[in-house]
Amino acid sequence: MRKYAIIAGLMAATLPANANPTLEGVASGLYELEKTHAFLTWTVKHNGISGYTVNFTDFDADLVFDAETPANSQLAVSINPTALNTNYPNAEKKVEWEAELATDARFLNAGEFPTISFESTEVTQTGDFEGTVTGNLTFLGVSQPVTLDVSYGGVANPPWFGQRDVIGFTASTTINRSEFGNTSLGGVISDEVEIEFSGEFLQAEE
Amino acid sequence: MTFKTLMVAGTSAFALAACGGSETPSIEDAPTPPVEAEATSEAAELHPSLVDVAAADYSLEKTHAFMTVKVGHGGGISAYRISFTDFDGDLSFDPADPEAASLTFTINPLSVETNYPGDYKAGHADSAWESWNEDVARDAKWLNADAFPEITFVSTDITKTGDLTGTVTGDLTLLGVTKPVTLDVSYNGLANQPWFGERDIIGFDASTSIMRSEFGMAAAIPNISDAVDVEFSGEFLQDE
Repeated sequence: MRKYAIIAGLMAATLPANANPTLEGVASGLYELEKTHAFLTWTVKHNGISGYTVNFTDFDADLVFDAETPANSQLAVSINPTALNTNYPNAEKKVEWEAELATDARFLNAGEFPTISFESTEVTQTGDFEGTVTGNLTFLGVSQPVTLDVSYGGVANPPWFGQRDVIGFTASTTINRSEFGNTSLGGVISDEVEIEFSGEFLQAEE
Repeated sequence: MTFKTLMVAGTSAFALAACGGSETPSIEDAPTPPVEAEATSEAAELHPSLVDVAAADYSLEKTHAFMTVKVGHGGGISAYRISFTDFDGDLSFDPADPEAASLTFTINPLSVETNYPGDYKAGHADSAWESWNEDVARDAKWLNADAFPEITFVSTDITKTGDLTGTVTGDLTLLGVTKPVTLDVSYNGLANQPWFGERDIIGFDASTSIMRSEFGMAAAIPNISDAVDVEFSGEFLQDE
């Protein structure tokens, strides 16, 4: 357990920006996603000229974290593909567009594939607070290895969680959707899909 | 696309071919009235992806436009991401003189989207607000939208930093406070859609970082960072 005063540092220009992340004193063990502070987005290029970003709004993750040897950690993520927020600027069409994106066979085809999942297979520490997490991403029923670039942001201890640690991470990767069998609108929407996560994990109760 | 830009594009394509194309037409083949020679010398300085772009007024193509802000949370252990879902932009753009462009954004602070999961009131019974979105939008310690119903940005100075990159400095008005802010901007290219006819669509990314305390919003620093990263990616459609 650490105190805010210890970890609160100067903010840099790029967020998150804990100037003094530490693994000292961080509990090892099971952590669960703290869903009120967790963001998962995917971005495709539209016509090659702009980024189209969609939030997944219903996803969960379990992290078995080894603070002494982070490379021994394990991560499992489960995403509900029907829970999308496109921020489409017309309320009625937004509902239709998100339903189409979620369920159409050209897109996330959620009726047939109701879960997108990621299970880590290998974690490598590349810096004091950086690493890669390779795992199997299962999307549209196809499993392929994917490697996330991960940064550890530090630990917080808000009083309402008592002694339970809260640890923050950012993670990103880029996949080619064609490798999972999705090639629709190939000339308009990029094959590359950038995936970004930033969020917190809460130490599970004993 | 206007006739003028078509002409410029045509002469520019010739100029490029004349410089290095494999089937270089001899200079004798080229029609060279003086007016076109002038256009060629101007267009030859344009980056290829700007050559066909109409000099015109453009408006935000709202179905392909994203504006997000990120703050550090928990002393900076994670980034908290909020989208604005109702905003508009006007851009006057001349590809031959990007520094003469002008840009305005108007953002409705009531349109914040936090993607808060689950039942906000269940965990925040004492809150004066029905949702976390409403809290962020309307609470006096956050965007105070009832008192300040618009966030605006009006460009004042544009500087090219590369063929397709630049900075756009302007006045950001947030919470009634107006301060200069500089956006880092990249131009991503031109698209044409059949349903928009000859009207050009041009795409940009823009980002900046502001200190919210400079606009009078100092609540919960440093648990929530003073620094706010602002990111835009989107398209502008040539006006009819």
